Amino acid sequence: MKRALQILAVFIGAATVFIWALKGANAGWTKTQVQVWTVDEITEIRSPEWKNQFVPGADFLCSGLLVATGLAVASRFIRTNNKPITSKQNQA
Amino acid sequence: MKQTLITLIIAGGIALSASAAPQSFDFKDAKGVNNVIFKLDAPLEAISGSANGVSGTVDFDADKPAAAKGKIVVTAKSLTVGNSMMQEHMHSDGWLDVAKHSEISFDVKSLKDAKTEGNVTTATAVGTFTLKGVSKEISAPVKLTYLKGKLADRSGGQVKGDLLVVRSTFSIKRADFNIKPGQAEDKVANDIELTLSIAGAAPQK
Repeated sequence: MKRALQILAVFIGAATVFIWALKGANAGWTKTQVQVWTVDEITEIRSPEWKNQFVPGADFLCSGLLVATGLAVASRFIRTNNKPITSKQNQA
Repeated sequence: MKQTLITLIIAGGIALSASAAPQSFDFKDAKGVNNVIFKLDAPLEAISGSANGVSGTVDFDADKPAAAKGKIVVTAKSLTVGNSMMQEHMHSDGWLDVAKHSEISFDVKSLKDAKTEGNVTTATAVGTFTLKGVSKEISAPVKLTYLKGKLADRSGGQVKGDLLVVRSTFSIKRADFNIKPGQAEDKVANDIELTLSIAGAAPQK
């Protein structure tokens, strides 16, 4: 159980950093849609069009790392099943 | 000969009066390029978004551009930001309350300090800005570009007429319009910068 939590913490932390970096390392807020700009030839007006796209931001990175840290800390309080062999048991 | 001359004078008079009358430009854009960009400073990143639900009319006379007046309306629900949760908050009753106050408008009553060079007029628009049900007199710098006969180019030759492009950048304070006055100013700035880029069409009658 302890080992599983530690592995999960490392996995979540690494995956969060990897996804965040892969999607552009956005230091702002997470975005669920982005603006694509077009220019009208006649009026020369620049206008934005919204396109659905997930861009993780600093809040995504912090949340992921916070969950990973939480799991790692929780794993410290879990006792392992393997009881240490005492000297009395050895003598028997 | 005399009759022909009279007919010509009458026709000329009608043409002159027709060209002198202000044209009504409709800003409900079928091409959907009309937009308003809004920007507010915030600690992590400036909040920036756009609105495209633009409508309204402007009366404009190419011979007297300084006499232009009209009303531009933006559907509050069309205000969009990149984060869906942030957008929900922005539309909610705590902020813009779009369910109750569905329109944002700028009713331009006059133009001040108008200067015209070619087809471009720059001026200061004076009028009533209404947001979240609160109306306030404001003035904003505007640039009007009159594109004579360009509607045909834009409509693929289907409709003949003129275009009027209006551009403006100005700032308002959200507190003035009862948007969380004095609250959360460390998270969202009080100043809102608005950039208007819209085109209106006046089809030939």
